[in-house]
Amino acid sequence: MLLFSLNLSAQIDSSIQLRTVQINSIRNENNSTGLKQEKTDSLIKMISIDKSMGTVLSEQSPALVKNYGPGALSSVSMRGGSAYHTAVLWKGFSLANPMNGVMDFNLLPTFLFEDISIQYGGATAIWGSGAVSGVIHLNDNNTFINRNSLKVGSRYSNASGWANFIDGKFSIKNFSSSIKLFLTDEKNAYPFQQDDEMKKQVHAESKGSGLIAENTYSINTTTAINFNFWYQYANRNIAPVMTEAISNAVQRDRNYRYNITFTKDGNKGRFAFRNAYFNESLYYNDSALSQPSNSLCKTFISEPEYSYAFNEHHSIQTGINFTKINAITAEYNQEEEVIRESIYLSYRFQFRKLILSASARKEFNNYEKPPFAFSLGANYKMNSWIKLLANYSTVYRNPQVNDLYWQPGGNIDLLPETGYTYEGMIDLDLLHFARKIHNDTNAISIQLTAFNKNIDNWIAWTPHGILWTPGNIKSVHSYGSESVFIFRKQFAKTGIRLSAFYGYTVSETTSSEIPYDASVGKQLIYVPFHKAGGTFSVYYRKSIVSVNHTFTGVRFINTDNSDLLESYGLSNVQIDQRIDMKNNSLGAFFRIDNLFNTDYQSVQNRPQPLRTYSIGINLTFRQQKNHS
Amino acid sequence: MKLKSTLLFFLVLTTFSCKKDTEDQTPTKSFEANADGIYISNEGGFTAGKASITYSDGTEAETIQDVFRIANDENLGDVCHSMAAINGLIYLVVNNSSKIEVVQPLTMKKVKTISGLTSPRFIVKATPDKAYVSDLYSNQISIINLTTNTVSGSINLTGSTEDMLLYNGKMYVTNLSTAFLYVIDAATDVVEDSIAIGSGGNSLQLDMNNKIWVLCGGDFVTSAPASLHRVDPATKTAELSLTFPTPDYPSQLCINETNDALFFLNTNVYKMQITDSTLPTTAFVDAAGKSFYAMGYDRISTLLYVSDAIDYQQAGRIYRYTSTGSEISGLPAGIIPGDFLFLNN
Repeated sequence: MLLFSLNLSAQIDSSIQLRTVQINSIRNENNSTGLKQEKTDSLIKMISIDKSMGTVLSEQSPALVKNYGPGALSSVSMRGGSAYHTAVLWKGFSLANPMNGVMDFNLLPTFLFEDISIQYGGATAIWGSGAVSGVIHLNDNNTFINRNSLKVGSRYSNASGWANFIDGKFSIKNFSSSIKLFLTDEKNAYPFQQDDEMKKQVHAESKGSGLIAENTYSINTTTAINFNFWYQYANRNIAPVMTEAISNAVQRDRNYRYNITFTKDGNKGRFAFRNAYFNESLYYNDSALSQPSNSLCKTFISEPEYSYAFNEHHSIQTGINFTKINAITAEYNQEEEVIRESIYLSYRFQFRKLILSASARKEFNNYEKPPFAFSLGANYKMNSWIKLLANYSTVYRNPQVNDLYWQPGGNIDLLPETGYTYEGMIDLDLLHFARKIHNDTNAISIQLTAFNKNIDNWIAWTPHGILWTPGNIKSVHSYGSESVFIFRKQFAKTGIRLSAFYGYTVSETTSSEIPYDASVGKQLIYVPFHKAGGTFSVYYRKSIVSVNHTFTGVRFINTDNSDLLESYGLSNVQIDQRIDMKNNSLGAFFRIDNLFNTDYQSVQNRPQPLRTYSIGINLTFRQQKNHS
Repeated sequence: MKLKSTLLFFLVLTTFSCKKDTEDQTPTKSFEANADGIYISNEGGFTAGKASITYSDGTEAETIQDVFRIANDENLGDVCHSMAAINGLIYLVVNNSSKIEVVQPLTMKKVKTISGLTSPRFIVKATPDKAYVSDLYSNQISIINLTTNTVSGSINLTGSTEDMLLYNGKMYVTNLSTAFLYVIDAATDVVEDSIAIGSGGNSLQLDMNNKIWVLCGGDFVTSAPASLHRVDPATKTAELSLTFPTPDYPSQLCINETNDALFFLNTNVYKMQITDSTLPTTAFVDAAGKSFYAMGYDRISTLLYVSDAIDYQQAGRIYRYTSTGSEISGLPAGIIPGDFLFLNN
């Protein structure tokens, strides 16, 4: 937790929080004992308001972000796993498209979520299929406030274009609502360098819109209903690769997501009935090809959960998950239905400085027969400044619906990817060691984590003759370390803050079903051995200056490691200023991205902008203070 | 003090980050083949822009990778699909770069770049001064003026035209998206006939009896099966049609030096005599899990060259077999070896 307050707190959230209704899921960090967790702090959230989740993760974490360019696909993988190995959960419901398994982080504007946290490591027993290398939690605060507010903002970037947003929050008696709306219109006609020539990106226009409405009705002090709706639309031209003269490809993503949760608190127990319905459409048309592709997917999830604390030492959590997926595209023989049911149980023991937990999940489905998954974790507070964490988990990832049914090639006999992962972490509070008080404004801490992960039955599409089909073709061993350093210091009206990370990742193919496969013993493509970064901020009264730098090491682009993409460093600098006017405030920022004009590639032959400039402005209107 | 050390930490981090830890590029050197030899085109992965040409004199010691880049100090482009030797020059059809590079054999030096194409697949000489280029998406055959090496015209032909064969003044054109073999009069550029065969014609050969064998991969959408046809150019009909079980996808029809035995890929390598009236059921070469991708027959050394694309993301390998199917030494190649050109006569 990298909370940040003081002068900034007012700027970040000027409303007083009355009470927080815990709705997102009963399962939370308590179940993930022994795993590393990071919460994106308020300052980072505030200075990243116009950025996508992909950009924020790329700047702030050792996660690998494959970015196909402004407006285009952005995928995230952690700890040497595949992009399918990171579960993205909105209030505990998985967001990845069940058909292709892809989560496009460019379609996740940071401003939509009040609460973003990253959990590293395997958590299949708790969150189900896909929580193999990590979980990204997107939540809201479900907060009742005493002052209604409306915030409107715009950003213009000379690389991409316009992004506009509105964020309204209000509470009436037992009802609280938050509505966020955004509209983007990006040309993405940026200049880039190819060989020694300057070119201009073409056919990369993107238009997007979205609405997220989160409502909580508190029936009484122990019972609440939470209803959420999220609509999003993106219409994007797919830019040509550097090797192509032109592109005619168009992609349209349209998603309707609903969820409704009923919670009832008892004396020692808590019951939640969680339900979600997602309706997703993906249209892709390359006019150079013969026929457009349209994929439609409806997912229904129902999840009753119950937690019970026997006493201060022992507690359990249990639940049932029912998921029904109906998917159709011209490439399937018919509409395909996949039903997955699972049951999970988690036990937690707390005694003085020690927390132990054990979780287990068994999933039942018609096809892949996923294995029993379990995890064991421990947190131990050795003394006032040293905390130790350890976790062992078995993990799995089910095949996607396309893997099973796509014609030609779909393979109904695919097995889930399975494996195990373990990790250990030491968390050092150095300020406490120096007998000083650690708080929101003063901190020096170091976290060192080491992890290991083995995955078998790794799924990949490979040709059989000329027909491509997915198979369980290899085993992969990943290991490495993550280091985090945090420094916060406050002097009168000035404060400084530094957070830095370094990730070292080895991810090797250990065996392959393909004869004479030279990838055995080699690093997986696109996994950098080294990724490091840091954000340094100085604030004085209502002004902030922030500098961010990230370094991404070389990444191989061929499985025999014969060719690579160069390492690169990217820096940006941002100035934020706020002016208060009674209840209202005006905020503005100016940012220079890619400060040193670095010519780099995140994905082979996908051009990235050189130095670019962004300017943003936002206005916050707040209701007069009332007496509550 | 703390502030200083923090800043120092950040500085060190930044400085470290700016260091490049990559090796230098291979220094450019000139390429000069000692003698005519074997050229292998490597697709290089779709959109990777790493198409390449491998040259070999037939021995592993004299196999040189990426000779186009060595000779011209530039990348060939994206997905080199096929090669042809026409009028003493080599034509490299670079599919996803929508171009054909014309180079000198031996030196690989670029003579001309033919642009103005959509998604070119094969180039075949039609008359002494023009060639035809098939295309996946343009719904036409492009005509190349071989004197100027420019596109001089086009012939409308719906679908994804693929492999072509000139016989007796007529160009026979397969089509991946229809069930016909098209006949174009090479003198007038007029499509004058279409011969009903199976769906998805992908390769063809002329045998010793002047019959045209056409291999069809079938159609995934309509579930039409793959098939092999013997077409009589005189009557313009398929006089023999053999059907493969679904979902087989045979490709890469080749013929031996005496034009009486056919080879094709169908996961494994199969061989059949032109007198056979059934499809072979026993593999000539068992792939044993290898990803056989392309095939070429060297009529001089009488060796069958088969490429293994392995996982399509690493350098491939060439396997070579004698007429009895025994393996001799192989050759290293580039990423996704897709076509062979034998200029070793």
